[in-house]
Amino acid sequence: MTINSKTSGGLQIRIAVQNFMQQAIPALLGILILVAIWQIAALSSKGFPTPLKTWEAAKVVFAEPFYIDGPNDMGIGWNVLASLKRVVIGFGMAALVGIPVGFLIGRFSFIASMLNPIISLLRPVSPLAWLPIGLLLFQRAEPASAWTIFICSIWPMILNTAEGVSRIPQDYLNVSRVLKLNEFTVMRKILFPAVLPYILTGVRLSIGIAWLVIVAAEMLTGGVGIGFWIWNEWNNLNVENIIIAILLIGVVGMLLDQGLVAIARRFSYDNR
Amino acid sequence: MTQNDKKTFGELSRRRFIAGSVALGGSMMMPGFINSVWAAGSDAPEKKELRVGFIPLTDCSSVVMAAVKKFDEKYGIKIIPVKESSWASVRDKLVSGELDAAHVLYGLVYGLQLGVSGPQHDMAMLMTLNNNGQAITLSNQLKQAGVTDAESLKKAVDASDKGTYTFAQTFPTGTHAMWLYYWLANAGIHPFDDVRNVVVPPPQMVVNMKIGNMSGFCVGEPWNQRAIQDDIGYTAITSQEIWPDHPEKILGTTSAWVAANPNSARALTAAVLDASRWIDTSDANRIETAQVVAARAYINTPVETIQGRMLGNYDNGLGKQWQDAHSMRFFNDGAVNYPYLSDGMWFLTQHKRWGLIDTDPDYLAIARKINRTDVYKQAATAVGGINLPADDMRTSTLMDGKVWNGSNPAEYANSFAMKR
Amino acid sequence: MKNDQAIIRVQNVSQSFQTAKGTFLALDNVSFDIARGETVSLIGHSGCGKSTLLNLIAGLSRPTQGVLLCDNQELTEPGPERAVVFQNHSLLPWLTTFENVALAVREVFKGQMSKGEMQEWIMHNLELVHMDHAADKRPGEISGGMKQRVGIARALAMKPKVLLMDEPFGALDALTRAHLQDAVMEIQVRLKTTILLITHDVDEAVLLSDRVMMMTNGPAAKVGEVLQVELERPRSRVALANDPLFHQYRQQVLQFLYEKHQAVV
Repeated sequence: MTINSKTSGGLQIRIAVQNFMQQAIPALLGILILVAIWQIAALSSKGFPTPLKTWEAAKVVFAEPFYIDGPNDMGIGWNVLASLKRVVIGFGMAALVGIPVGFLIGRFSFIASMLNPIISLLRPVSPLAWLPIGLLLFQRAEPASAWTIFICSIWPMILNTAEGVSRIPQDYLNVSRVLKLNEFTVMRKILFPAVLPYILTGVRLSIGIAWLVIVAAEMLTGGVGIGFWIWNEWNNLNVENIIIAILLIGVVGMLLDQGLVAIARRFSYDNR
Repeated sequence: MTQNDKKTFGELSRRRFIAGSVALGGSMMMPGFINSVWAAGSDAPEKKELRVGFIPLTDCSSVVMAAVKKFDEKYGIKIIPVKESSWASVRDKLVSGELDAAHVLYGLVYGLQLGVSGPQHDMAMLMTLNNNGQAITLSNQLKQAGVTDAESLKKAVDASDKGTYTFAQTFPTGTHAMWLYYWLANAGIHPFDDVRNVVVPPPQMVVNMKIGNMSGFCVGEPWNQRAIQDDIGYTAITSQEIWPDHPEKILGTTSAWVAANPNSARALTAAVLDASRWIDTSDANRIETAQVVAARAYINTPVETIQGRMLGNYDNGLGKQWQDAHSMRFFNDGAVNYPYLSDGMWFLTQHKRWGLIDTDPDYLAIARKINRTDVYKQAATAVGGINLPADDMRTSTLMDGKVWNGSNPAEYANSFAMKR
Repeated sequence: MKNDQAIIRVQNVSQSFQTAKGTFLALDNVSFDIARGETVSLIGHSGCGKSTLLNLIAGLSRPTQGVLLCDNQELTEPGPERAVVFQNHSLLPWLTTFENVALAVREVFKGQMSKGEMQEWIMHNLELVHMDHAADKRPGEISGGMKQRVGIARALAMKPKVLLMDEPFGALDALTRAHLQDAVMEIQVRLKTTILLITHDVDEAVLLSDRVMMMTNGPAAKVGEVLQVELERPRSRVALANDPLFHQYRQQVLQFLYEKHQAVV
């Protein structure tokens, strides 16, 4: 049921609650089933913590998420923020390079032929293989991590942008020709808005990859970050905390993605 | 060491000590004066904040305590202990300069000098951090199959296909690898041909053993105690049984760093040496140390897992308990920390033995390059009251009776029945 | 036709394309003129080269042979003086209808009109097609017929010498088509714009045009017959439904299409 200007106040509230329940109840059910499976798995294995034990550990971890006890021991909040910072830097660079390159590939077939083989070759390479190369190039752990995120998350940016450019209806370009728009105006007023939805899809994919990569990279490079926090907990064989970190990583990743979806919807003109 | 040895050593070093300080000038004889003079003026450390990497093992204690008990400030520096995720990471950050120095495996640094398991880089070693305190853990599955020592392990290995059993160590050229190989070879098991041999980080060792994927590993405390506590494995042999008072971790850095920061190098060595002496002073100090390093920022494990073996209270998980005469030592009246050339050379001989290097290098020359006895002596003087040995070599007898004293290294490397 | 009367001259134009199977001759030696203020339809079966011809006149492509003139100058590239209305309206979906027309107006008249004048001119053209009420709506919010009206408004706002319409109502249902045809007739009366219309609707061709040019089938299509439509303006479709002359014209076109030059299936 939809709400329009004719629905009364009380009915509006009832309908809103109804809609919410329709979404929330199945979701809650899903989570409950997951927890039940978890409990069964924990009871029948050696060393795997139960949901209750994990909850107890979580209360400790989140009690003071922003404490600082020296550079080697900081609250989980700082660790997440440190990782996010690296993601933003690495992804930012990927966007800065990837979007223009995607444009060029979509617009000029010569460049497409030149770059496509290289892209196909480099795309499937694992982040853990790029990291040592980053360390050799930059001789420092921080830029090496940023580099690893950059090189792993740039591919969706390039490919989705190129796809968007190539999908621009020829009619739009004909309009621009009839109007005798210069190349720069074409890019600004026609290409860029037309490609924006594709770019945003690329951004979503890239951020997802970047978030994945940073956790892996941090396990190897150390420092403050959620990846190294996990490594640290593994060093203590503290499985509850590893599970907590997994859930936290999932939640943060989900929030990032949802945030981008909301932005995409604002820029969407597709009301069909 | 016997009582007699100790006495002679003490006398010799006292003479040496006095001789050394006379050379520096009469007014500098008292330790207090030395400290205050050296902290100021042209002897001031070039770099005050030093990033010293460590891996969360019990033997990182002297580096950590040097910072926590503020021994570093005594010598005009600030030590920032930086927890690292792997030996490979320590290696890379030492070479790139992201770390000024590190708590590091003896063999790793020597390997780097020759370009083995890392890019060739001129390295330096300022002092030995600890003796003893490592062990080889075998799985409970092996225990259930009747394997409780080297002999029974050999029987089990012979009775099965090659490669059935997997053993792990921490770094290809590192200390744990060499203890493991020595012990296996001594039992008649070829560490490369008869069993699988892998490099794996400590938590992975334990987890793999838990799920039955690992037969044994050699690693530092507290992991061996951990394995017993978690009912996964037992201690087959301690490293001090293989070589009593063996060199283990060192304070490593690059040759270039020492050249650029000689005063900082000296101050750093002095601070860690002072902290090492403090730890070994009493059981109370050891207990305090255990409580500090157990914290989240350092080893991140319950105190009980560290404290027992640190105090020498051993239980091998097979029902045997004892007070170990050669438990982990950080100072031992100066006997631990001196950069004996023979110690470094021993690792080179084992690298050659196992084919990690192809030809005999100039053992002595390399040890002379890496082991900075010059920096150590200056640091020892700064700390004051540190016994210095008369000789750059020391004599050791290993578990198989072989004696190593630094002479004829090429011959020694070649003298083993089992090699590669 | 006299030189000063012809605004578009197509002279011996041939167009061939390179395909995988070799050279394909789309148009073979086509020649005709379009007079100022005239509405000319091009009608023919699919594949007879109508769109190719329109693209050539628009300047979107160059002829393999022959020459095209606009106002006695060889036309070599597209331009707003030969405004195009596409079959798929091609409004930019992220702009409102006002902004879509504004894009054209700003580009063509920058430096010549003030901001206020542009605003007025845009609304004027939207009113012309009865779309002023939807100035702030996006293409996604209006119907197909409305979008096409805006397309026409945008073309007209360029003050073109010639309005080129490429099957503009082909994608619309019959009733909407009728409304839009009425809109075009209104424009013809008010502005006396020169129009080249491509269609395959016979009724539409006769209703709107002064001349209907019937194309033969491709390949090597040419102008087969030309029909002068001498019906008085303003024309009313309801009145013409009973007009024998209208039916005669229709008959001529139908015969051309379905008896003399049937479509090749």
